[in-house]
Amino acid sequence: MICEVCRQRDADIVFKTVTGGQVATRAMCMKCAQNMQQEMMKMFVALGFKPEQVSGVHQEETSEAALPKPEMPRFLCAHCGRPYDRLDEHTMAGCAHCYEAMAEDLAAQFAPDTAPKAADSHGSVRGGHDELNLRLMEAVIREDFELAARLRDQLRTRDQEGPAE
Amino acid sequence: MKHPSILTAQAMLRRNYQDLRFCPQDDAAELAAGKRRALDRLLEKRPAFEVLEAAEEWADLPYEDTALLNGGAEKLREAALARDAEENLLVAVNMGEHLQLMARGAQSEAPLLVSRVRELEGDLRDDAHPFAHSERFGFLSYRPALSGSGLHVSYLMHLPMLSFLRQIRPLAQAARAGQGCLLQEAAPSGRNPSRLFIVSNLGSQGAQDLQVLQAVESFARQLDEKEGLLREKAVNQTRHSAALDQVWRAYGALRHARRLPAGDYLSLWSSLRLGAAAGALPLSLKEADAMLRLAGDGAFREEGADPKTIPFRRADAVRRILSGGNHADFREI
Repeated sequence: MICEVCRQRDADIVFKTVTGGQVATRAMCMKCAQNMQQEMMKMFVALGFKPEQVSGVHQEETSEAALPKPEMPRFLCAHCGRPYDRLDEHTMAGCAHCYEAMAEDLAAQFAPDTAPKAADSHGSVRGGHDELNLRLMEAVIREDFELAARLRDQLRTRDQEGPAE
Repeated sequence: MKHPSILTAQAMLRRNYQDLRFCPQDDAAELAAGKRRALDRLLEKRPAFEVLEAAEEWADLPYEDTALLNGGAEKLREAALARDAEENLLVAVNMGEHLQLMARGAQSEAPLLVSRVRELEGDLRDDAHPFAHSERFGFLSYRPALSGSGLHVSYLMHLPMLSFLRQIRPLAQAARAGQGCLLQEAAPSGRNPSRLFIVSNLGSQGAQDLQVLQAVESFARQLDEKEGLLREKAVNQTRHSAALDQVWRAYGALRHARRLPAGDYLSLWSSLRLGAAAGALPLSLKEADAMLRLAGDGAFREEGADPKTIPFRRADAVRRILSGGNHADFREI
């Protein structure tokens, strides 16, 4: 099952949420679940709750060090209430106004060289897909496993020596 | 461009309304207001569109269309799909973005598809409810990383050899870092018996339409070359080829099967298409591509028909096609 938030990684856990009497389930990967938890905690802290109230753990039962200590978010959208701390590819905006809080980080991320690029003139996709790798695939197709093993060892040695240019 | 690994091309525009909160939120009233607004405008300007509001209706869509729902779409609130089957246009409402406007066509038509979604966008533009836009970041998405022109060009590709050799993940990582392109499975559930993949641009910030088109086309072409090389070696240049054996087994199974559930069919279809692409079977690539339509239950759903009979109907249709006959729903993609 794919994470319903990022739609890229595999889902690790399933959340149940109750909104207006309706129960909904959401499958998420661990990273998105953590992001969502942090955002919710920040929102509660911004609204005046104490961290221990938010976490649902009594202070006397748990050592202070073990309690999560969310800080106030850098920004809280006045329009939709979504907190914002930092930008990554999974960050979600709640409304058009959220972009004002993200403006600086977005401008840095969208430097001129981030636009989609066509491949170089050789048409090569980098990342270990060179001649050796192709020969390895060919050997696997031909079921020549002795040759495949030798090529695999060569690739490993090359990778350990350092990344290809 | 004619590349055997590519089945279809698609252009998509992401748009959100400026005055409404973006979709991943739970205010049903606001979501419903956005949906009504979008569909009213769409039907006013383009009456040929058919609106499918219930998730059960989406199951009747062709297999290629359901791939974009990316799983779990039935759990979305106040979502809808509108489709103009004649023009191959699709509008998704409240599925991540308020609006996703899509046009699908043959691989060589990608630039034309871009202009068609731009025309559709023009019809949906409403001065009273403008789309969320900023001078600095272009059209705004619920994911800031996706803001920009909002254009996504994608190709549906069949990559059985690269998938078999576990090359998809490294290629995807390299493309993401190097070319700003995305390579992901077309199957939403994580199981991908058809070995179909979607290639698209990652973002559209600061990119002209032509740049997006060139980047995605260039990456798709590279994948096609690699897949073609491996296909040739696996099917035609290897004396005792396990891949060729799989191709013929699939052909035999499909010619004689009496019951074909969608998963089984997709797995066999993948081998069949591999054989057709390599020229090893008495079946053209065009025919093999058109057979993908039979994977969707919608191709067999008839008024009052028992859904349990669909795997049998599918097998009947496949047998007819492979023995030289035809099927009422058998059309080119």
